[in-house]
Amino acid sequence: MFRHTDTQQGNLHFPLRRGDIVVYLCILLLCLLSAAIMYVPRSTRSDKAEMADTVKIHCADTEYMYALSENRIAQVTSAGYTLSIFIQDGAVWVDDADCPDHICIASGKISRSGSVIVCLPAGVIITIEGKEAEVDAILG
Amino acid sequence: MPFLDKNNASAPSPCKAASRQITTQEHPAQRTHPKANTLAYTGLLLCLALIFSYLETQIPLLVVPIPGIKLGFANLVITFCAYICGLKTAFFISVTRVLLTALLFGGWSGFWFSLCGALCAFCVLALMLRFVRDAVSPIGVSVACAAAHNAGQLCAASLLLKSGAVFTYFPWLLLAGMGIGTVTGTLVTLLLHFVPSSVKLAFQKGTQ
Repeated sequence: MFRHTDTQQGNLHFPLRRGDIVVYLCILLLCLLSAAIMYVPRSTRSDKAEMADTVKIHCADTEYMYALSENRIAQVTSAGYTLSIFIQDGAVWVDDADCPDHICIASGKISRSGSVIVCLPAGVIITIEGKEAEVDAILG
Repeated sequence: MPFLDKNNASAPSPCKAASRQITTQEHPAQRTHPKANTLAYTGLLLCLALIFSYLETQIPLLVVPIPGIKLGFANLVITFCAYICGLKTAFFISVTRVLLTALLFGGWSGFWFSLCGALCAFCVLALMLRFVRDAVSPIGVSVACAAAHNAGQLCAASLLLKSGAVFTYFPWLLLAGMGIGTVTGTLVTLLLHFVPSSVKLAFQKGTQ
């Protein structure tokens, strides 16, 4: 089980082998492929269409959709926790929440399509979706 | 001193004038308690994996704002264990440390992410060690494991949150996995170089 190729006898030789380069290249390829799939449709969109993005707030049982261009403050209650979600000047953020970890507040502002703010204790997911088709087709 | 030269034989290479002779000798406890040695070592590795998992819970990954997504530091111990103790022990340590981390450190929100990531990483580890063990050094194995770990976490996150939007972070997580995997892999390579021969012998004997 412990083969002689697992360690290098004597002095320490250069550790990378041919298979390592293959692994690195495969992962880089996957990276570029997924980036190409996800980011290319966005770059072809004009500024006007970007302002028509919708903010989707997904709670445990209901889903709210608002236009990103309209300024509003949304108060969402889910699983006993209340979140204050601010939509202003094309950005969305959680200003106040009574969940135990406050990761949603620390997530800061999101403004680009596909970005996510998640509050796991409350089960609230805030996403921004654009008008063009996105990778969102994976699950309902 | 008993001199065993079976699997760790190092023929003096013609390029080097003086090469170190590797001697593997039996640990004195091996005769009376053959399994205790391996058991104690496995326990040690499990504790080490737990410590790394705890450190992970303390580091918030700000790139991806999903709570529970972690870097894969514990893969260091799992990969090292797979090389020394075999895949079965590595699987046991991987699953147990996920469970114990959730129990001890209260991270139930990240439990499913960790479990899925650990299982994905172990699958990749098993495949690589089974088929391409001689072609890939521990660094490549670690990189592949870390990337699979992050990908598994993201898949679990998308299933749990019922949203496909989390996959926008997929490229960044793969890159982070590459970085972490390189660091982890170099450490594993160094560690494997310095593992005492009595440990190697104990685990070899245990499987024969």
